[in-house]
Amino acid sequence: MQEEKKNQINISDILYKIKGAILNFIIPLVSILVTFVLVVFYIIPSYKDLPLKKEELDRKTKTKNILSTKVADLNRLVDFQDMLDENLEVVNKVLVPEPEVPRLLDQATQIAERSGMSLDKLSYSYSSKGTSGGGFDMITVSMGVKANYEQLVLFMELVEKAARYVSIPVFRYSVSSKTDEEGNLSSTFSMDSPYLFVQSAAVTDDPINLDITSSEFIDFMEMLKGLDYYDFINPNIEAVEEEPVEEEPVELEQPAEPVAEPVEEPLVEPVLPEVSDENTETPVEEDNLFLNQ
Amino acid sequence: MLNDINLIPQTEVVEQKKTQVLKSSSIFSVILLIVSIGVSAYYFINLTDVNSKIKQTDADIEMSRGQIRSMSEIEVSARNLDKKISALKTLFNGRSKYSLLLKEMEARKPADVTIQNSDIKVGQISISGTSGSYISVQSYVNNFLNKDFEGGNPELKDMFVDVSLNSVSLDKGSNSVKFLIVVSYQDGKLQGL
Repeated sequence: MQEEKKNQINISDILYKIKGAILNFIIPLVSILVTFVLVVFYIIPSYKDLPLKKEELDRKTKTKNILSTKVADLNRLVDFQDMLDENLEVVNKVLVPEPEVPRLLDQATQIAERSGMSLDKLSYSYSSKGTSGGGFDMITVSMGVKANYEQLVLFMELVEKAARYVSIPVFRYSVSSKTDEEGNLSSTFSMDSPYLFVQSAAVTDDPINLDITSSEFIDFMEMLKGLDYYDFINPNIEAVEEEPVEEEPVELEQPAEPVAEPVEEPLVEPVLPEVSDENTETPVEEDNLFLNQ
Repeated sequence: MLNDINLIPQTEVVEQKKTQVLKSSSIFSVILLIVSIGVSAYYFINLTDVNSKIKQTDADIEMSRGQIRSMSEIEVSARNLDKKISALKTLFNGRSKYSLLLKEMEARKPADVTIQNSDIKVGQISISGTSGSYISVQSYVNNFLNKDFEGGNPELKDMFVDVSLNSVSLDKGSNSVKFLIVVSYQDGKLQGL
């Protein structure tokens, strides 16, 4: 009986020890091991990965939004395809894709005729950059004309209203030497007309900035449509092609000492001195002094 | 005084402390495990959510790209138009309206001044001519610099910034004054009008 009791005590003692070992050793050990594994192999990588994934999501969401907007824009452009084609045609008439020299010469001639000028000289040359700015290829047309001042102004206005874009960077005029043409001016122009060939590629992920329904675009197109379009009526205009020359600035007189302030009250008109020579040069300084007295 | 007497043997006290430390360390490790499981679950849910959103977004992007590719022709036309419009805006905004300059020059010219030659380039005009008197030449110069000049284009009232009288000479034959002036002007004032 005593033996049996002793055995029972031993068993319960062993069970107690096992329980103690499980509670105090195995569970904490397993817990710490699992925690360690979770921290090292999941939590830390996830902690690093999550911001990157969110960033990627943001980026992709932005791309998706851009593409969605682009799809909407393209669908709108499909709806307005006729308008788009028409506008492209107008724009190609204003900024031509090819030099089209005969057409340009014809336009220049028609403008000169319309403003009542008589054309003396017409030549052209190719240049890679015009003085009107930008990196456009240019046709430079040189014109020599005879006209009066009003015709000159009218010519300028017509040039500014002409559909094919032309700019006049430099011009000069002088009174005609012919005495029978009183008031007529002999004038020379250099007219730059740019041309630009564009061939775009479809870039799927890039947005389209063109909004053909915006008021700014519509106003600009209306302005272009309001320009004067010249029919190509004389393709056989004779004009000399000149070699492209390095652009040299027209030599202007260098300014002398500037007249600082305008004189409000002019002096009494001076009596011109009688001089025996036909031309008497008056020194500039003296005149300035005189004018500013 | 009786309260201060501890009858528990020292070995038993040490044993009890050991047991307490073991117990609290077990509890601590289990709490640590629960916390780490919680944090892991948080990251798992978030990552799964973000990954599924990325997949969905990828699918949307591919669909949009497909639609865009099917409209590539119109895209090319739109891009061509956009480029040309931009170029034209640059050109038109940078073009000087010399018709206005000529009108302004004529408006500011006194009646008895006759222009013989004029060279016009960006920012500078060289004018030579004749006048009935010195006063007219002076008046012409003053008119250029007069910001309150009446009769000209109000938008161009302060266009001319400087006038230099380079020479004045008397032509005895015609009893007139020959002059040469160089006028500086702000070319930008003639642009975008």
